[in-house]
Amino acid sequence: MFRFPWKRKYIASLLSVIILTILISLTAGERESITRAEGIVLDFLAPGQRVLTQVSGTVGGAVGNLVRFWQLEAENRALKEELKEYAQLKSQVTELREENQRLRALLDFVQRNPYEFISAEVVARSPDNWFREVVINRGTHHGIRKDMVVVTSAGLVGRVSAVAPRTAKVMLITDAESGVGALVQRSRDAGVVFGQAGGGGRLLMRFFSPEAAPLVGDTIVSSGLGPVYPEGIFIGQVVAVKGDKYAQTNYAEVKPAVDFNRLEEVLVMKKPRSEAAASFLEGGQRP
Amino acid sequence: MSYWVMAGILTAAVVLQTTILPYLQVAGVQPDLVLLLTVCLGLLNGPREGLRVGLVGGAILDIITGRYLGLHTLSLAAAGCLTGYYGKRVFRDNILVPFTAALAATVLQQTIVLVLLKVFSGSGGHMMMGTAYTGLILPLALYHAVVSPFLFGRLHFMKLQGKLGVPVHEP
Repeated sequence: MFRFPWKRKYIASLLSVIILTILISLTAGERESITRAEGIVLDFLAPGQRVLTQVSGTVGGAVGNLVRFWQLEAENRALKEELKEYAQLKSQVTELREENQRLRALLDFVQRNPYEFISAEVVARSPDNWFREVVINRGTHHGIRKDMVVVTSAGLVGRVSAVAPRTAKVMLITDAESGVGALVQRSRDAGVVFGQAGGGGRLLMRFFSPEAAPLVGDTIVSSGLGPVYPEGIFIGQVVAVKGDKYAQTNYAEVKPAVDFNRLEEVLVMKKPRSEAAASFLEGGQRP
Repeated sequence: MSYWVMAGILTAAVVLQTTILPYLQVAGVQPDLVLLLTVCLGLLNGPREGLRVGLVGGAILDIITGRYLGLHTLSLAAAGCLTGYYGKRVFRDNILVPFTAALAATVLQQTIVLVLLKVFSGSGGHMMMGTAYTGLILPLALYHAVVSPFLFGRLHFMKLQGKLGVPVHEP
């Protein structure tokens, strides 16, 4: 007749709750020691727990390392790309800085001189070793005419030898066919500066006077004697003085002031800016 | 090799020669790629090909230079033709062949240029032969001699692959 098993369940549950509540109240707060049963369970479980903790720590660490490795790899790739961009940027900045310096020097030169200038870039060089010429990106359309003098802030470059509508050829002073009236700034000894084939870019200055006695280190400037080159443009410095046994005169080897291997921007001298400047120049003053 | 292909290759060589090669100066001289091509193609394909390459390359150089028209045409044609005859008489696989050919052809071609400039140039009087040889011709000849085996080897390989076209008939 006893047909209410659920009642036993309720009673068992209620008893369990009561027992647990009593247990909780008894073990609430910090205890001096744990029970024997607890100790046995703790000691029994501890080795397994230790192994599992170590394994999970190792696996977790490995997984963490792997994730970090992937992250670092991605970061490394990104940084390398960034570094490449920086290297490119640095190269561009260096290039721009050098160009800026060259242009500043040219601008300074333009402001100091009583001439009008046309700036130009060197776009090509002579194809062989006999002729020393460069091609610039300015021609008749830009006002360039034959025999205009070409300079840089460092000194004399040459003269325009041929002109096309948009380009012009400049015969450098190192060309074997170039001749520039020149003088030694210190002694005023006059002569002609020639280019020489096979001279390694050095110029040769022959003097009009047999008594001329140039010294190593003397500054050579254009003399203005002649139809093309105005007076006072810096040509270079004497690096050696040699005797000419046939003409019984000295001649000087001159190192040009301009580095022709690194010629990039040049100025073509158009004309004096004003009549005053022209008369100033005719008065024998250095421009 | 057709004249058009040859003109294209030589024009490209001249463009390189006026832009990049001036930066490859050694001992104050820059290599002459047109002369090197003339020598190597003359060696590979004989005197007629050497002559043709020299004529076309020289004409392009003369036009570019704009001074003494014919100076390069004449000197390069002579160098190409003589190199071609030399190439027919030697075993071309020897590395010394392009070396000696470039050395001799450069000295010959540059000497022709020097003599012609000395004769026709207004500045011939102050162009010193000794300086021209020690400062220009001999360094350039050595430069070409060192470089030519590499160019010759490359062109030889291209010829074996049929990329240089069919050479003209030899006499």
